[in-house]
Amino acid sequence: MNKNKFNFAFWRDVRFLKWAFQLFVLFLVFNSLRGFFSQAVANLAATNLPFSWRFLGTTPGIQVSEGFKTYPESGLEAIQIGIANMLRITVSGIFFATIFGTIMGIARLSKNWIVEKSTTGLVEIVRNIPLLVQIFFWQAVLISFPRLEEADRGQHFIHISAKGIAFPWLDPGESSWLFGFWFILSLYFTRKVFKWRVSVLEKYGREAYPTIYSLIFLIISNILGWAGAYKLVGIFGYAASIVGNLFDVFPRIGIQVLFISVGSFYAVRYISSEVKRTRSAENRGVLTDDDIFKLVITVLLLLTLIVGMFLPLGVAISDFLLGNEAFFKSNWGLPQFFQGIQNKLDWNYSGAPFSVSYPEAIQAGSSTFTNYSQDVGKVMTVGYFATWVGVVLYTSVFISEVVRSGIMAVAKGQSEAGLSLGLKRSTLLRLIVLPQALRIMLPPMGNQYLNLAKNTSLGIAVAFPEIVSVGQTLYNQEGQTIAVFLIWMAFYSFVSLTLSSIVNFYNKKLKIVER
Amino acid sequence: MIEANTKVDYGVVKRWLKENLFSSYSSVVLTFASIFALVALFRGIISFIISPERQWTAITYNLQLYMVQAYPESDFIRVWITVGLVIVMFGLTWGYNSKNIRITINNAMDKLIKVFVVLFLLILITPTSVTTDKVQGIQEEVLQFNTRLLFLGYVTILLVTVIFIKFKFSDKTVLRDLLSFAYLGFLIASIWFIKVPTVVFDSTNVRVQDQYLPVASSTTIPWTVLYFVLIGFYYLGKSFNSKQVIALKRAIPAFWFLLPLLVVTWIYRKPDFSLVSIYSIDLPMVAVGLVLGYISLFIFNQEKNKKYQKYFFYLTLALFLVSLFLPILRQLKIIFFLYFILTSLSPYISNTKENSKNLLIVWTLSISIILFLMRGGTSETLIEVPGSSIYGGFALTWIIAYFGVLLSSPLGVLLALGRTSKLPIVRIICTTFIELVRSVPFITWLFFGSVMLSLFLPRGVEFDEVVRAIAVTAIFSSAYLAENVRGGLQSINKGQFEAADAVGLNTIQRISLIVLPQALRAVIPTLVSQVISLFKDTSLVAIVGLFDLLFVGIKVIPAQSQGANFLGTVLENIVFCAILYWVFTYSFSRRSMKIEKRLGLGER
Repeated sequence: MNKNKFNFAFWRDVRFLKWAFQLFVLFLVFNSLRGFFSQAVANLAATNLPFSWRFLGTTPGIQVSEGFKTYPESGLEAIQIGIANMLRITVSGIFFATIFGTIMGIARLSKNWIVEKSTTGLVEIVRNIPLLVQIFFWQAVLISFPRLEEADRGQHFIHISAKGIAFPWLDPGESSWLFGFWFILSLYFTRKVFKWRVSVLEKYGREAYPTIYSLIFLIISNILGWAGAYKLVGIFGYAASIVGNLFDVFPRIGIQVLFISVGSFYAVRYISSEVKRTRSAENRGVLTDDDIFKLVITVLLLLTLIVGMFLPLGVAISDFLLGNEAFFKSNWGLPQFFQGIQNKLDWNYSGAPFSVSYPEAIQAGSSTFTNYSQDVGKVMTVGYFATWVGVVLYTSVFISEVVRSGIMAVAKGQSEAGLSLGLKRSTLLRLIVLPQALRIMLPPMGNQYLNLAKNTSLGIAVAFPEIVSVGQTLYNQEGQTIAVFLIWMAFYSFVSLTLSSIVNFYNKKLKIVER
Repeated sequence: MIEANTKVDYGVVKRWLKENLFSSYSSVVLTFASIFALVALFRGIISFIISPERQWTAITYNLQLYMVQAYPESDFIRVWITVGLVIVMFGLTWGYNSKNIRITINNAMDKLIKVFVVLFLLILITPTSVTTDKVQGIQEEVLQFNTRLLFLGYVTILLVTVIFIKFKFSDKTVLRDLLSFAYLGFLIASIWFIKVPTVVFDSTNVRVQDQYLPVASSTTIPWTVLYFVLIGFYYLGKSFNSKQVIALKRAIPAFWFLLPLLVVTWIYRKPDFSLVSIYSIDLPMVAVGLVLGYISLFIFNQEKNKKYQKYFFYLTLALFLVSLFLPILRQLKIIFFLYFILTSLSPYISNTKENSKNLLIVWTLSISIILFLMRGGTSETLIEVPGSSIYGGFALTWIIAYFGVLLSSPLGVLLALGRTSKLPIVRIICTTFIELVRSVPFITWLFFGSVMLSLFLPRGVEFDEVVRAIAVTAIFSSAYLAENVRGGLQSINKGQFEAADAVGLNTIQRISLIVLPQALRAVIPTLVSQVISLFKDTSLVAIVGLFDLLFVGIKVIPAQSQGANFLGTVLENIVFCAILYWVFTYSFSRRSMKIEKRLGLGER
């Protein structure tokens, strides 16, 4: 009450002014957005192409040059092919760029003059040339190889031509998924064995050979797995089939209630933690504008969720989760997901999980041209090669910079201490310097991974069908530019959110080690 | 003296080799492996260059296309004026900021000796024959033994000259800038004398055997003239510096800022203007501006009129707002807006008579410049180019980069301030904008600009495709810039804010006088690298079909089947583009490192 003692006009109160200003800004932004979109709707209506998502369900009649399918049956499937291609480059690119970047970063700190200078030269050359130029360059390099027609038809081991690079590949058999799962499990247990031997070493102080033990375990378990022990993994498939069957008896209202209760739980928890925080000694129970705003937004979001779950979109999502085929005619939902697991991990499967196949140059249809056979070996197409090499090289150069500055940021005393203990340079790097450098390197490294994921979009320049390229083909066909742009935005936002949350997770994990 | 120099301390060399190349067994292996790899790489590059398959004439023939695309040849003088103005400004800046650093001839020549010795060795290991048929492995002798001897002879002559200079003038020192002029002079001389294969047509326009001619022979005279212009303006700048013309310190950045605007409105565009419209419209408007400025700066700043100042301020605000909705010239609206800003600031910045006088001059000058630029920018262009835009080639790259930076800087700073603001709604809006823009790759934004932007605008509002590309570039870059600036804002000590509050500054004063100067200074290196990456990103406009440097290199020249026929010369053109981009980005980044050192960032 003592606040009102001053008795000045309310429009001179700074709190009122703040909120008035903000609401004004909000109004402006909202109004201009509304203006833009209503203009867009009017313009689209005039062109006889009103905004719709229908193209996702219909057959687009386009051909995608590579991917898990060539002729997509729906727009959604075309976009899935694009996403799969994009992820293919991103995941393998991140893997190799990290390795190359780390090697280059360490080489730039090498004591050897010529190694250091040549790596620095490479870094300076690659990072100062636009990525697009480099991608075009690698495309031109591969295209300048002899045409495939000039090569002998028949089997090759590794073959490079203007059509791409063909190399041997493991052909999956019936039981490949079973064995793959077994392999991942064996890696997990190998790690356990390693930790167990290390704990023995630390406990009794005698040599416990952790590396040798874990290697032997890995080899033996995989030989056993290859010989047929993979059938044990079929238990997971059986479990999945049971879970999948549960969905048949689950009503839609169950999903809706589930979502609402989970949402309410988190909202209540958030609000109570917020209120608790303001009751702490330093805040003395005063809610700032910010806090009030946050609480209001939380409550609004919760209300939106509760109402939204019973609106058409919420109903559609619930149906989708239950596999009721209401979502774009597609047959993928949670039950189908579990059925898929059951199909892949069936213990009735037998035979060798993988067999090696070699690439083969064959006649293309009835024409005089030659193609690589689709069934055997693996072909790295020109577009994939150019994008992959360009992106990996470009990113690894930036990663090398991150690694270098990370290592240099580790206090010099640390490596001196390691040297005085008599460690070898490689051991010193592995056990003392790199773990500490990792903590500094991680956030900028995550940034570089994000850049890599975004840079794969340049594949469009060399006709590599990743999501941007497929999206462009789709909107050229169907005219739904805004819808395609929204899909791009949603997908890339999802990728960057995922990547940054992974990086944040590791960041937190490393931070705990510090204390 | 000479005896002292000839005596080489072999112990030092031996120790250096031992420490840097042969410190351990693995190091020895690494050394030899990398020497082997480097030699193989060098030989590969050279055999790529001298291979008879390569048509380097595609570049020497198309240099014009690369630089300005289809700009009409009759108006090339405008391009040269543009380049000349840049060089004038460059010389002036260089001379004005010259530090008079002297270096000994001995050191300079030592560097040159190293270069020439390496060159000599490289020529020795150059391959002479090239595999022309990869399938059958046929080799072809391209470089004759005599050619190699000739090159070796040239390098030896240069080496001997340099060694002679070194011993003759070993104790002399020379200005570093003079040395740079000498090197530049050699570069200029080389375009007169060094001959490269050039496409030649006979009288019936049929391509005949390539001849060796100086590269870009039509540009030799302009470049030579510009070289002397550069030297002239360097000394002019230097004399300004020695006479301590302090005004130039502010004026040079302003000139650099105005120069591209002048270029795009008047020089490059060739506007179709009439002197009558300047006399009858622009000059009266300048007069109006002058009178208005006088009223605001002199009449209402007098002690007896101070009490009316506030009402006058509201009057100008009303004037501006009313003029927005009146069907009058755009120029007048802008003048009224600027006038509103002037009146709002004049009580604070023109306290004395002297200040008011200076401010009046600046005010009149700036509105005349704005009117002048707008007169050029709004007139029809007389340049006729097939296609929609008069900008193309490397010029387009520069235009997009410059205006991208120019427009994104204020936007980025505002977004950063909004994101760190204490007002929740403003913060959420800014954060959403930044994150949405950053999450999507640049190429999708370019598609947005080229395909979707027109959907969101009222019918009939159509922008040139270059303008759309610039707008999208600016928006995209501003989001990244905002994140960099935010880093700087967060690095500022809390005490600075408290001190500003204690002095009694309001929010705007605190931000503009205390926070931003420190924040921006702290993030200069990241801002420069942001500019570099923007320069590199301009190459992406080639994907949406703008005729920039890369598009010319990758799509236009390899498709030339008429006349000279360069079908399929992709590799040569990409390598040329890469070199051109590299030269500029590399020199930017070297420059930024120097700035970083000069500011002493990261050393406190």
